[in-house]
Amino acid sequence: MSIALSLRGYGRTFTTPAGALRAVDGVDLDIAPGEFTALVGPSGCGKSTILRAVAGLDTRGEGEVCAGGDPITGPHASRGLVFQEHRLFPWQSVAKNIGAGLRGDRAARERRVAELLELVGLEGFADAYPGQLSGGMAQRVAIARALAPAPDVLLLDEPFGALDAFTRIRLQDALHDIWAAHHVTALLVTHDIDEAVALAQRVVVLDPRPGRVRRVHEIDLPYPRDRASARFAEHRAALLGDFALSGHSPPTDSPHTDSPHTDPSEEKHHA
Amino acid sequence: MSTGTRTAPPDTHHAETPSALEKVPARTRRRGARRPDPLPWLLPLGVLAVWQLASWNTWMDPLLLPSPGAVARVLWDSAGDGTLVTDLSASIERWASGFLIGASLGLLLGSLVGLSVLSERLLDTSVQMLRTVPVSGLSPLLIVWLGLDEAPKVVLVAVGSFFPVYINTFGGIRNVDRKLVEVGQVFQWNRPTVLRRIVLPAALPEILNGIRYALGVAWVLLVLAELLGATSGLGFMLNQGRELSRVDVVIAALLVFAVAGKAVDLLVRAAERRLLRWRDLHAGA
Repeated sequence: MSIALSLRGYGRTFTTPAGALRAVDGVDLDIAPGEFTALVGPSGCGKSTILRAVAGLDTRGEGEVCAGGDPITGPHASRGLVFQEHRLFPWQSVAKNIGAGLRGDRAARERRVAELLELVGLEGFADAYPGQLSGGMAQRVAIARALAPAPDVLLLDEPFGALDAFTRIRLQDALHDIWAAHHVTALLVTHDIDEAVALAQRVVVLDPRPGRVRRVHEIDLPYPRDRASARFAEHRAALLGDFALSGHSPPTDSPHTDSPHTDPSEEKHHA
Repeated sequence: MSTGTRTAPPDTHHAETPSALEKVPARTRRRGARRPDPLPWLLPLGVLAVWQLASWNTWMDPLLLPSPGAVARVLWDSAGDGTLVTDLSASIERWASGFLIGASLGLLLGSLVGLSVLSERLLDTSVQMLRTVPVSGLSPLLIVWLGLDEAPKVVLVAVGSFFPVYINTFGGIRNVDRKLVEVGQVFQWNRPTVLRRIVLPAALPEILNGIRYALGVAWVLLVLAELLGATSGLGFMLNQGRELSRVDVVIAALLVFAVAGKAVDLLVRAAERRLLRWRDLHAGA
């Protein structure tokens, strides 16, 4: 099996005025092409740091971070990135924003932008400006912009964190459809366990300070996933148990012990 | 910049795809671009009416307050014999050349200092120190150094235009959202492309603010320079009116100043509306 993304012994220490801060430590992770993986964990677990390393925005970590077997030395068109804020250019129209990362001749770019507008359901908004869009629409444009250069890998850093619950679910469904239709490898950073269970095939649970992989939780539910189903709830409970948030975990549960609700088939990745 | 580049506001349109989309017209109408509003003219017309009334009833000595008609006659005559055009164009020439020199230097140095910390350390303290010197206080020095020709007038206007453009360009560049710059990084844009496609458009509103302010300062300094000694220009017209005790000439010159200043302001506003059209467009605003 080929590997789309791999991290080997990835670690990252930040120098802060208060001293060295170990953000991520000894993370090993392999992601297959076309796989949907979610990184979950409380704030401070280094999940965004890992994503920035994979995006190539931060190359100062230790260990190996590879895409398609080659070490990542910087951003690349084969890896699209969606941020938590839409980060659209407010002075450009929706169409110009989507086409911002495209090269090549104008006609081809315009065709590609039209395709993407349709993909994210914003036909007719080509000439609107980001200031005219709702938060959910703006995030759709941001996803379209990241997908425009047809990347192999789509990296998402808490992309729906600032949206209300209804819009969030709608955009999660849209993201699922895009992933399913385009066979991109998706790596989603989120602190929303429902979001991870709704979208991911594998959920990587991270421990905080320093960020380490606690375990990898497989979700074998068929798509589209019913958020109200019992099996959905089981996976949610298992992941909540990791953070002693489910209400069912024994009070003695230490942060490094798996919850009794976890599936015995899950791999354990104690760092 | 008030446009939300940091965190998107919570999405209040729940039925997102159809209804929220219908709410946004493809082109929002531009404010105040269609029918002229009569209200701003009320005050000037009222002043004119009171003025006319005052001169009819001779509430003041006509030598101190000539009638609107007398002022209009001065304008008409000077327009007829060409002196108005000569004076106005002489003033505009000094004002424009001084402004262009000063604003270009402000843009250049402001960008340099905004983009490089090294040049900030090297230059900014000196510039800020010079800024505290009242520009009008430079005129004696400029006259001693450069005489009474065009040069000191243009230089004075240039110095006055420099600082607002410098400060706003510097600030505008420094305030560019680093998160937007990171988007350019993700697209692997090189530095000139990031400057052209992100830094410049993001800093533009502040730079234009500086330019508009500089245009006003330049106008004020122009009069000052021309009052200190000129053989043409609106300041010269003012001086002549004072020397000949012709209040009607003084008022006529002041009126021309006001109209010309307003015209320039309208031009700049129009340019701003074109360049910053995206700022006027907000959902539900």
